[in-house]
Amino acid sequence: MSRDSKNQLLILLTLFIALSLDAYMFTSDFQIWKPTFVLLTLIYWNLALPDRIGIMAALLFGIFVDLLEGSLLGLHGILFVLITYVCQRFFYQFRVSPLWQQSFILFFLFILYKQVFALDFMNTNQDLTNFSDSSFFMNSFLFALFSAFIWSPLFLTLRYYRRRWVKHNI
Amino acid sequence: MRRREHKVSYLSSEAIFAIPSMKPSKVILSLLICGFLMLSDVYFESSSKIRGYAQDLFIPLGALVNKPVSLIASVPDSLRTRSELILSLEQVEEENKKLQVINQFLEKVSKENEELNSLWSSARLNLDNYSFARKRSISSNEFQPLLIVDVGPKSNAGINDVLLSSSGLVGKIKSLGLYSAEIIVLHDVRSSVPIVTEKSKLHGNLKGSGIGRAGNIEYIKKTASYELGEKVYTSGIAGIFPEGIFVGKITSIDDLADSEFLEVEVSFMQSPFNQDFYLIYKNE
Repeated sequence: MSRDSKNQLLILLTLFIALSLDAYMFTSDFQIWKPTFVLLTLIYWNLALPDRIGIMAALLFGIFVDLLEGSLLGLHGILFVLITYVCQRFFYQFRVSPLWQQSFILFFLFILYKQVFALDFMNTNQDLTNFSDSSFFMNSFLFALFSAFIWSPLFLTLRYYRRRWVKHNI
Repeated sequence: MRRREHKVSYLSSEAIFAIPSMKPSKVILSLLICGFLMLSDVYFESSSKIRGYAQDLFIPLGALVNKPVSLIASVPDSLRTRSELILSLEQVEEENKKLQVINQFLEKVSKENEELNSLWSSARLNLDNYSFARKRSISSNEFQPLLIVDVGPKSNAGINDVLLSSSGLVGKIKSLGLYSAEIIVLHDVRSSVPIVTEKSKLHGNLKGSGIGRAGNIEYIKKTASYELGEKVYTSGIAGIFPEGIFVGKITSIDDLADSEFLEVEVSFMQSPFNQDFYLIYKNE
């Protein structure tokens, strides 16, 4: 097996582990606030090795999350593709910033990310709103906060994994 | 170094080691694919045919996390067994602990049995139409929570069959795989249940508003005479939900000046989070 294929497999393995963490059922409250590990892992690989992770992986795992979460098919796909694009476009600026700054940026990104799920694409409920619903906003806030907090340990773990296992071509 | 990882400067002919960002055309194509998937799902519910089978494929993913969790949980037990070999006194303590563990298991079994018995006693219709289902997971989607239950391969459950708990209606089957069924719960904003109230005998349509929120009875005239605390049952109209299943209680009735309808809120007695066993009712 070539080095490139091996690296791709190792990256995909982390994404599948993240997906299984997303599939794990936590307690009732934390289930709503828990971070989307696949997205965080995808962001990490986009920052660390932007040439090794592509739009197809973002699309594929977005659709997996759609199937897992029961959301409209393609909704997570769109979000993952857009976030992947933004990460790759600005990864030079983002990668050099300290971890706390990265967490801070991700916090706002995840608040915006969560608001998309309050959009009523199927026209099922006229009263569905996002910012005006205090409970939903609070849950979005906590979701973004947990995601921002988990970013640093996840970043360090994946960096260790990358340095230990995912070798560069020289 | 691969060729695409560097450019060559036109001025100095030196290699510029810059990683190219992804092509916008690829991004646009992916967005178009996702848009197509979304539209086909909105208009034709195309994903409902594959979702149940997709959940079957995700079963190994769940095991990937559950196995390490159970292994980590078993580590202290194995360490304790080694130390017991040294002192006989500790053996007695270990025996005691084992008995306590067995007791805990018995308690759990009896609790589960109690829950199962309570489920069976709540079954008032034809018992042959019922089958058991066990909760596997629930998604974190706040407005469209998706409950996944395990159904056996021999189960005769079908799409639109009703899911019940000991405290009433939970939802209906939206998609079915070989081992899994996706349930659209009452709290889901897409859920709509024809209901009738206990005392006033008024019919209506109950819509979900998301997890942790009360449901709303739609389009109720301001002259309607609902009572606070009144129980709400399925009316059986439309034939999907059987008649007379408990749904919830009316918790709030608001007569808003800027609305031509009453705002009637119904709190659900059952939450998909705190139940492990369910009954699937095949409505014929």
